[in-house]
Amino acid sequence: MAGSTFEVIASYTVTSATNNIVMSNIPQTYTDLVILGVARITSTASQSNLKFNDESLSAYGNVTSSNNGGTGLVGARDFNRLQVDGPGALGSTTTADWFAPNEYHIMNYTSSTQKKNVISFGMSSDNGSTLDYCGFQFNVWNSTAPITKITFVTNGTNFAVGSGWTLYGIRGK
Amino acid sequence: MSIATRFGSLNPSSQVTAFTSGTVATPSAKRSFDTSAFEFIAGHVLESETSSLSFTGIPGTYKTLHIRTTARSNGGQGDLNFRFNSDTGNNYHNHLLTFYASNVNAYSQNSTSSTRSACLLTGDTSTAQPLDCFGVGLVWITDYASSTKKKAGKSYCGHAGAYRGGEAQWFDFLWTSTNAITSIEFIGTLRPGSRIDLYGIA
Repeated sequence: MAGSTFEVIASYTVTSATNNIVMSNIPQTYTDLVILGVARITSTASQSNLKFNDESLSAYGNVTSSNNGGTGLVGARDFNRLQVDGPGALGSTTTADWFAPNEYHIMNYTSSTQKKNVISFGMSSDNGSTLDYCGFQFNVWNSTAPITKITFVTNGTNFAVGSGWTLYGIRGK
Repeated sequence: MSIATRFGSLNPSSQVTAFTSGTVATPSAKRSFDTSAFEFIAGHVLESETSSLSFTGIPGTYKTLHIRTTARSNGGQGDLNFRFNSDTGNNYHNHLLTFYASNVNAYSQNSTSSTRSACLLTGDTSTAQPLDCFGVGLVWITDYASSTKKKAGKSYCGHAGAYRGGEAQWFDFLWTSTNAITSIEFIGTLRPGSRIDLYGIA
């Protein structure tokens, strides 16, 4: 098997507040993609989401588990979404210098016959001064197209300076 | 104007750009991890329907086993369970949280004949679960090669259906044996296109 099992593909850190960060021309030589990063939003707390390729339709769905800010476990299911609803991202009203960890597993991303699944984990906490959230999600992108582009997008205003992600490729069989 | 940045030699065409204002930081140089820290051991990609499949002769040279699954049932919706070293006795215990729509359930399952679950499997035939929809799972088993410790692991698995169904599970499992794990058998009727990959983490 050529290449290492677990490789860095690309990395990006926000140095000036921005939205819609694109990682394009993703090589099709891995089995799964993994994204690890941190996020903070310049507006009130929102989400750190993903979009694939140039999908502009409401073609995403998810199953969510959450601690609901510490008030009790909740489950939810949403359809016809415009993005992979990702982990939370701390917003401008939270204590400065706190960032939310983001983790995504994009499974079998090169398949041309299967819809695309994403497992995401996240939490958003500033050690209790505002509500702390944690949970995980399963997302589906209703497309059998191989993923060649990933856009990091928040439904807040912009990702704050210091936010950033690394994209890894995992090789399987 | 966004700035396109090129990466290391193995992926020269990969680019990172930002559409809106701001600058694109120079990305980290592309690099590979130490190949012995995270290694692919073996994998199965099914070309025909299979009722069970196994990994045997698992080397005991890692600290943790990691399993990644993308799978679909050839029958009804269900679980892709697994067992170790051909042990079919009631020597497994599971504790799980399941999330389905707005429902949250917690279970303990003691003295079962296998663990649950490496993957939640979407069902077959129903138009609510088209054949191109698969479930996915991530499993970790730490200290699998120990000869003095009972075995424990965790899994996150689920599927979002064709966004008309969907379920998520988070569970831990116990195997009441101190034997090193040398084989893993996955139990469930799987459709072609299903994949199970086994990795070792140092």
